[in-house]
Amino acid sequence: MKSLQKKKIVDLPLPPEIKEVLTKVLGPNEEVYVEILGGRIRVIL
Amino acid sequence: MIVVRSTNIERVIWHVRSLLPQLESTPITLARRQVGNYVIGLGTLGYLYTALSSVLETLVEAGKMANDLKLRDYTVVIGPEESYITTTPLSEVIPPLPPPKEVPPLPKEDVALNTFKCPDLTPGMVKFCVDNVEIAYFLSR
Repeated sequence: MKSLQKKKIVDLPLPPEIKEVLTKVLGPNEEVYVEILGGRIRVIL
Repeated sequence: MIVVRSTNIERVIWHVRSLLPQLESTPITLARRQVGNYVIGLGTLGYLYTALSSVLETLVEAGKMANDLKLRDYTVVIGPEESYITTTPLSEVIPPLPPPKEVPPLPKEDVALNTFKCPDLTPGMVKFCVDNVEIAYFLSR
């Protein structure tokens, strides 16, 4: 089942290097939608 | 100069017409193209195409004109400057033309979409992937 959650970038379950890039690009308090697809994570900007 | 007798005019028209698409579809190999037994250098193909088209047009028009004039046995003379029809039976001068052959269809264009390392495409989304993380945004409609 697909679940779409709104989360802050700092709280995302992402590898640190990806989180760092997103934080730099969008800012740490920007909220994005996160979808878990099996073993994959989709971040919708 | 090309001289064609009325008995051969249809055959030559058909032959020249079949060579034009062959010229168009001849693959280019390092500024040289091969058409039948002829190897044509860079830049000459356009002239050859124009010359053959002009010969074809002249032959077709001459055939029509002869028909209008109710001529049965005639000779068409195509020169570099001008062309004419004569009822004098002249001996034919037809340059050796490569035999007509089937033109292979042009290969289809290959279109490969860049999936930016994602294993699949999602309609309506632009995305790229890093390992198992997908960064996506919706396409505006």
